[in-house]
Amino acid sequence: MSVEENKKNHRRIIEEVFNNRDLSVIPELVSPDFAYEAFYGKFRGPEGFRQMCELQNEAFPDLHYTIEDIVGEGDKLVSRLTWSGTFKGNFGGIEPTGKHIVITEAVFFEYKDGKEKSSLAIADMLSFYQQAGIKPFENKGDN
Amino acid sequence: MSVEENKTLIYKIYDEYNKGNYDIYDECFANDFLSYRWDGNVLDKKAYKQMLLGFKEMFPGIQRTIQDIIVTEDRAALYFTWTGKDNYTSRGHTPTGKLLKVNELYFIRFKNGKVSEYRQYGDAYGMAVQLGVYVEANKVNK
Repeated sequence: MSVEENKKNHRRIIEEVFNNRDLSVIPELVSPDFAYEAFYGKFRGPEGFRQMCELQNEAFPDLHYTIEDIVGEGDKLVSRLTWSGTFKGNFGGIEPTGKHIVITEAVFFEYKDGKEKSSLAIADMLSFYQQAGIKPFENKGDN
Repeated sequence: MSVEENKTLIYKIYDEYNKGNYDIYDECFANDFLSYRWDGNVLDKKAYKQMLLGFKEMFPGIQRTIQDIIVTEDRAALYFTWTGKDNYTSRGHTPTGKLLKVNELYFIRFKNGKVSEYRQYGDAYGMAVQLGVYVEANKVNK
């Protein structure tokens, strides 16, 4: 698959799956080999991707991504994204605060047969927690 | 420059950085280089090098390992991990000497055979947790 086809796949996942909440297209776009690990779970294959989306949608019902930039080569692609969402539901054990959060992130993707296989995200989680108003946050030595 | 030349330039910068040769930035960065950080700060060529020198003090033995790289004719995306010992003294932190491991992802632009722009994304939160400055949010009150 070409870089352009991988970019098209990425844009569809962002627009259709994340922004429009259409989880039915996930098997078309996500590889059976998909693997992703985060503090809120380990996700494998299209079914794992769907579970990941459901957890995110429950926590942030108005979750929205904007693609700022994409660089691709071969079966790899890196995307710069702006993420926003209102923290309405439990997220990986963190209780919601109702705050609206906007952060930037960069994600390194790998593709197989034109489908997303893995991703590594570097998101501005410091800003996420600060905007979420989550406290106590500083380690006072009692944890 | 060709894709291969761009790739060679990036590896050369990181190899020299790991040897402690920070003058490589004078040679390989354009004079109008700018680094846009995820927190909104923008560093010019001189400020970027100063930041690296500060990191060398804060994290002795610092080394950068390129994990993966995507290169085109005028751009690149670089995923690397740095390791270094905790000699961090800000925010009332007492250095522990513990080895830290932090991921970063950069978007890079090239101009006339030199690096002209970085857009830096670093796992500052992961670093703060390793330093013990912060507690992982999902482990607070548990």
